[in-house]
Amino acid sequence: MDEVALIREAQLGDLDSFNRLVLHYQELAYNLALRMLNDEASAEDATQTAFISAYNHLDSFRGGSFKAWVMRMVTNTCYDELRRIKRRPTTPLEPINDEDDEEIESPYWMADDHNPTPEQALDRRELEGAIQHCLADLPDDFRAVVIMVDVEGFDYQEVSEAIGKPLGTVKSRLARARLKMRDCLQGYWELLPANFRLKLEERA
Amino acid sequence: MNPKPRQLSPQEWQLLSAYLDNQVSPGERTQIEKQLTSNAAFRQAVESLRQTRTVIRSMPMRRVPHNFTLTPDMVKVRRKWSIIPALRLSSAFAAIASVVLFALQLLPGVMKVAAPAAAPAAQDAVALSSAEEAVGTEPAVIYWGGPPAEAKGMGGGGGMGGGDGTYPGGMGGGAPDTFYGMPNVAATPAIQFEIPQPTSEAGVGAAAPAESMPAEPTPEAPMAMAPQPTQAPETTRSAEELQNGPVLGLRPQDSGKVIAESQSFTAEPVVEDEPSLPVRSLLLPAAVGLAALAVIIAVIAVVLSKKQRL
Repeated sequence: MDEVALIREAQLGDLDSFNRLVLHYQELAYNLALRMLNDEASAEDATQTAFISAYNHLDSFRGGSFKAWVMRMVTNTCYDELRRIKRRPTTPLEPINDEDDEEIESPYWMADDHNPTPEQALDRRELEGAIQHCLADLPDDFRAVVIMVDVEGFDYQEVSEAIGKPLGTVKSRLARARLKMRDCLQGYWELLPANFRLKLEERA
Repeated sequence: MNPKPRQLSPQEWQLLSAYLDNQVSPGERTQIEKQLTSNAAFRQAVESLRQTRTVIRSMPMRRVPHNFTLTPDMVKVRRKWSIIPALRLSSAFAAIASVVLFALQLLPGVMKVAAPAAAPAAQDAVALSSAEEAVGTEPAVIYWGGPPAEAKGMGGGGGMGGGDGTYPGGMGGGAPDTFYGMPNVAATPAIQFEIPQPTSEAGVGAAAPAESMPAEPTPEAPMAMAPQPTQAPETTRSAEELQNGPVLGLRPQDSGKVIAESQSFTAEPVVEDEPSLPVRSLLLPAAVGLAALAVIIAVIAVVLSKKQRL
C-alpha cells in the first residue's frame, strides 16, 4: 500500500483511496476507542465518527505519521464522548485523593460495579476484565498513552503526535500510568491465569 | 506482584519506564544499569514495571465488528463547506481595502503635499530639458559672475524664452544676474552667454529664490523632484560665492557627469502633478463600492452557511 499516494488522492476527494486507509487502520482505531470507552457500541460510534472527521479534515494533514494523525482523531472523539458521559446528571463525579490528586474516578466503571472484589471482577472477564477495570480507573490522558504504547505497540514519537504533547509528557504519563496499573493489578494477582503467574514469577 | 519500592522518585520511575522501552539516551542507560547492579530497590522497581507491562500487553486486540469505510452520504457535507471560507476571506479583504481608501480620502496630507512640492521641481526640470534642446548637442560654456548684489543663484531655471539676452535663443530670462544659464553644460568655450544688467521680466523663470536652481550643479540636482525642495542652503552659498566675483564654473572632468544627471530629467514631474485630481476623485467611489461588495459577500456567506446547517 502506497500510503502517501492514497493520502494525496484522498485529499483530492477520492473516497476509495481514503477507504483503503480506513481498512488499514480501523482495527487500531476501534481497539483504542474500545479501551478508552470500555463499551463496544460507543467504540463503534466513536471509530466511525473519527474516520468521518479525518476525511473532512484531510486538508489539515501536513505529513508525518498518518497513523498518529488518525489516532489523534480517535482520541479526541473519545475525549468528547467521555466528557459527554461525565456531564450526565445521574453520574457521580468524585475525585480520588491519590498522590497526584488529579484523577477523576471513571463514572462509567462505577456505574457498572462499585468496589468490586477481585473475584467478582474476574468472574466477568477474567484477565481482560481486570486489565480493563484498571485502565478505566486511570485518568483519560494516562489511559490513552498506556493503551497506545502497551496495548497497541506505538512508539513514543507516534504517541506524542497522536496526543499533541511533547515526548517528555508521554514518558511521564506512561510511567505514572504503569505505576497505577501495577497497584491496581495487585488486587488481581492471585486470580491471573496460572500459566501467566508462573511466567511472571520466573521473572521476579 | 512485588511490594512497591517507595524510595524511588517520580523522575526515577519515569526513567525506568522509558528504559524498559529502550527510550533512554546512552548516558541514561549507563546510569540506570549501574544503579541496577548496585541498588536492589532499582532492580525491584524495574521488575515490577516489566511485569505490569507484560500483563497489559496480554490484553487481546479485538476484531472490528464491521468495516468502518465511508460512503458518499457520510461525507457529502465536506465539499459544500469549501466555498464559504473563500467568501468570508473575500469579504474581509474588500472591507479592509474599503477602509484604506476611505482613510486615504480623509487624510489631508497624503495627496495634497505632493503637488505643490513637485511644482517648482517640475518647472526646473522642464527648464533644464528645454535648455538642453535649445543648446543642442553642442555643450555650452558657462561663465559665472556679474553684479554680486543681484546674484540669486541660477535663478533662471525657468528662464526660457525671455529673449532678453544677447543670445537669440532667449535663454536670458532667468534671475537678474549676468550669469547664465546652464551650469551643467560647460564644455566648449565657443558659446558665451551674456546677460545685460536689467532684469528680464519676460522670462518665465524670473522666479523667487525658492525656485532657483543651485548655483553649483550638484548631485542633488535630480532630487528637485522630491516633495520638499532643498535648494535654500545652496542658494545662500552661491550668493556668498558670487559676492567675490565670478567664481563658479565647472571643472571639465565634472561636466560630463552633471550633464548625464541632468539628462536624466524627463517629463516625470509633470506626470506626478497631473493625476492627483483624477485619483482623488476616484477614491470615494472605489471605497464605497468595495464596502458594498464586502457587505454583499458577507451576506451571501452567512446565507450559505445557514442553509448548510439546516
